[in-house]
Amino acid sequence: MGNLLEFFQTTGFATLSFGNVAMIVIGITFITLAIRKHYEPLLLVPIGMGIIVGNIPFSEDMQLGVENQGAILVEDGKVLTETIEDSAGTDSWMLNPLVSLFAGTDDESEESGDGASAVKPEQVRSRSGSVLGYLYFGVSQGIFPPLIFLGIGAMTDFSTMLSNPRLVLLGAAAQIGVFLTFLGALSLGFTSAEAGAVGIIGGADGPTAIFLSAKLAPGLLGAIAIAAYSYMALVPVIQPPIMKLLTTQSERKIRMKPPREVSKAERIVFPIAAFLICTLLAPGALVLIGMLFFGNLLKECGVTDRLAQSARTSMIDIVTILLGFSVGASTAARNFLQPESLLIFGLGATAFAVATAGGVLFAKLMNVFLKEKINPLVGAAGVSAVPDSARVVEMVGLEEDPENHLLMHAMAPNVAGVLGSAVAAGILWSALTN
Amino acid sequence: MNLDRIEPEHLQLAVTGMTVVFAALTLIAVFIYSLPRVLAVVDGIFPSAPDQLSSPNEEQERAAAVGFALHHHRTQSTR
Repeated sequence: MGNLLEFFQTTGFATLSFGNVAMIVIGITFITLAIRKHYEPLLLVPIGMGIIVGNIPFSEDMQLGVENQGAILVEDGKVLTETIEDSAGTDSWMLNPLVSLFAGTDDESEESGDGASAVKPEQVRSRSGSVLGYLYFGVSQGIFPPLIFLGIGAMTDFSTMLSNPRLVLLGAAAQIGVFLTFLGALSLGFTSAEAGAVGIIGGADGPTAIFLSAKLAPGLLGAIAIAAYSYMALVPVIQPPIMKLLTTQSERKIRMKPPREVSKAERIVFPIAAFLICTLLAPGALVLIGMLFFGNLLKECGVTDRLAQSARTSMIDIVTILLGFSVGASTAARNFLQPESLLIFGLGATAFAVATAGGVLFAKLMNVFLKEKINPLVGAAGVSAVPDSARVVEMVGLEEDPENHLLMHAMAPNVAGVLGSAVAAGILWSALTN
Repeated sequence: MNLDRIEPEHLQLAVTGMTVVFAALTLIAVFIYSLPRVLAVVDGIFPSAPDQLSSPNEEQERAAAVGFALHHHRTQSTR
């Protein structure tokens, strides 16, 4: 009987907290929304299941969580990575042990008398991490988001943007949500780096939000990722009221010229030229934009169809599963259910609303100067969230005029929004890491 | 909410960031506007080779022949 009671104390039933139950309910809600309402099912199902998995309590000795990423130890049990971080001046946990080991056998380092040189290879032991920890490595080190961008690039058709370049500016206007939320987060007590990571939720781009949070505020990554993906799933709920509030009925009925046909040469030259323009202006966006346009070049050049096909199907699917599941698993109640998470959710909703309003209002401003008016609803698609926000534009437009199809027009600011949010992330990263 | 926490350099970053995003996308828009003209000039200097893909290969020719034969057979049998 005593043994049975002892065993019971180690089970999840005995150690399950109210927070864990709340998070498991949230996970089930995500899965339900995905299945019943079809809100971003490809994301919400892996994230929802990940949340459930990440909130099963276990003994600390079992090392099962995402935070157990493995470590290199010296004989006295001290974590070597921490020792070396100070002496080697780098924040890469994987490189640090190597730096240390080499430093330990290097005469010059020994002479310098720093802490790293004291470590001998035979003193070093490794502690393996958990499966979830290794999966989460791709998130925490910002590996998965660029791979997703590669897939997005391989499935994105920039033709609508190339046929109507003035709509590109709407993708820039919507980034006002990022920078205003950055200021809002600062006023609520977040540090500069954390505020930058929270602000990028306004870019309505999950991979970009994860990439920037991993770089600027790893502690908030779970909350930011969940907020970003939740609001992306809720685009059909959040955007229409704002769009209707800021436009008149006659504006919503404006018809736009059908897009012109774009030549193959234009579609091939564009990714290379646009990459050079973006990254020379904002080098911080190099990885995300580089992978996006690389994927697009694979699609458009016509001689790498197999690679493009793999990038836009198998690869992006695998990475989405790994990313969604491990982000979900990182939301253990003890880390996630904090006041900051609530603030992040509030700021995220504000960011989304401001970004939508920014795009719509800028479209109205452009109409003051343009002869051929644009339907201001397409401005709402400037908040990335491809292709959901473009679909919302189509839906709201059809409510006013059942024959006015805006989807193709809305795709232009939509893909421009992806570029805009990646550039904004690059700027915030380079400015706030220094 | 305490607006005093927002320092001048934060405002500067927000304004600069927005400006750089606009600059990047405006340059892209300008580039897209000029791209067809640039390509026309390039095409004038270096005329593109005839598109190899547009000429039907043996398999396509065979498929066309089979299609024509089927069509011919069906139209004759319905008369």
